[in-house]
Amino acid sequence: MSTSPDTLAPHVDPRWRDAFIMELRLRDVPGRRIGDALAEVDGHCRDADEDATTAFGDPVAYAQGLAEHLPTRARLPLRDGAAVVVETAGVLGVVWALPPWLNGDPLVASRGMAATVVVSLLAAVALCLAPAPTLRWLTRARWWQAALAGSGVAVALAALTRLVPDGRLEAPAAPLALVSLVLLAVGAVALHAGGATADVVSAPGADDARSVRRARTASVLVSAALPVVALLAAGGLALLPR
Amino acid sequence: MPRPAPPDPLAEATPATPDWPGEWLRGVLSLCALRVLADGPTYGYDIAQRLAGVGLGEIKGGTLYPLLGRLHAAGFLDEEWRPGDGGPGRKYYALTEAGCAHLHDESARWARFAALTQSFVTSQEAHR
Repeated sequence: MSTSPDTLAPHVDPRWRDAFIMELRLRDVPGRRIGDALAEVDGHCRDADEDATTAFGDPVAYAQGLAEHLPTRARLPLRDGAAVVVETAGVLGVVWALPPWLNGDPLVASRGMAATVVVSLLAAVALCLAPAPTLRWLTRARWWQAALAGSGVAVALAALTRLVPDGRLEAPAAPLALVSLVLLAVGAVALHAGGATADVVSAPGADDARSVRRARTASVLVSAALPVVALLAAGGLALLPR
Repeated sequence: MPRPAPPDPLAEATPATPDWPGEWLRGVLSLCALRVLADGPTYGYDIAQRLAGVGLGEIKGGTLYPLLGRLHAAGFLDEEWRPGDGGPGRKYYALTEAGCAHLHDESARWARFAALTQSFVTSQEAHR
């Protein structure tokens, strides 16, 4: 059976569906349970010939009421946070250290680069450890709120940059690139092994071996996407004229 | 000659579109849903239709499915997805043994409560 929300709930307005899925995700309800609840909403809308808002009201309020008696996935924020930090460090390290290594140059870092690494890692940790209400606010932020938050991060980055001693920081590129490649691989494997990327919203009854294989393949592809993009970006930077 | 079957309280009620206060329905809705399922397994929309048919008014999906979920979590209902006729399937609910026992006990208590309430509210004392 399909695991795509589009085909799982064709009678439900996509905006209602997405808000419903997001709220249940924020409450750590497993994908299979979300698919079950969504299919029930879709069936009722089809039978009653009503839209989801008329039959079920606000998607967030309905999801909140439903989640009270649904099982939840055990959250492991420290493990997930460690995986994201390792992956982020790997991406930054590969993008910056691989091009000079391929060109036979040392890695030259400015204080802006160093500050960016610190802020990026702090942001990754903060997002992993953020409570559900904060994440909920982020998903619903309006454009001006997002712009304000982005400006705040930019100001913090600029202030942090002023604290770093001025001057060129030089380091051998090869060991940093190799360590970054290892971090990238370890982060991807940790994300896949954690199971978060395999927890897809699945249709009721989609528990046969074929669906399990499909979810595992999707998890491998999602986990591998970031390393591939980082390697492509590093390769592109290496080809730029020096 | 066989005795006639006792009247079905669901079939006996007068279909209408009343506007019952929400707090009245909240107290009795789970019992009514279990009563519908005592006739056999069925799916959510059919439960809503049958409750509307006996005069309880329109039960919205946003009210019904969380209620069925709570009854399932309490062990009173079994759930099963059945494939539809060439279309998507429906989730069917069925009473468990614990659900049958709960319905039996609670409907007896409800009858006593309803009789008590009726005799009190409609007593001559109340109209003086």
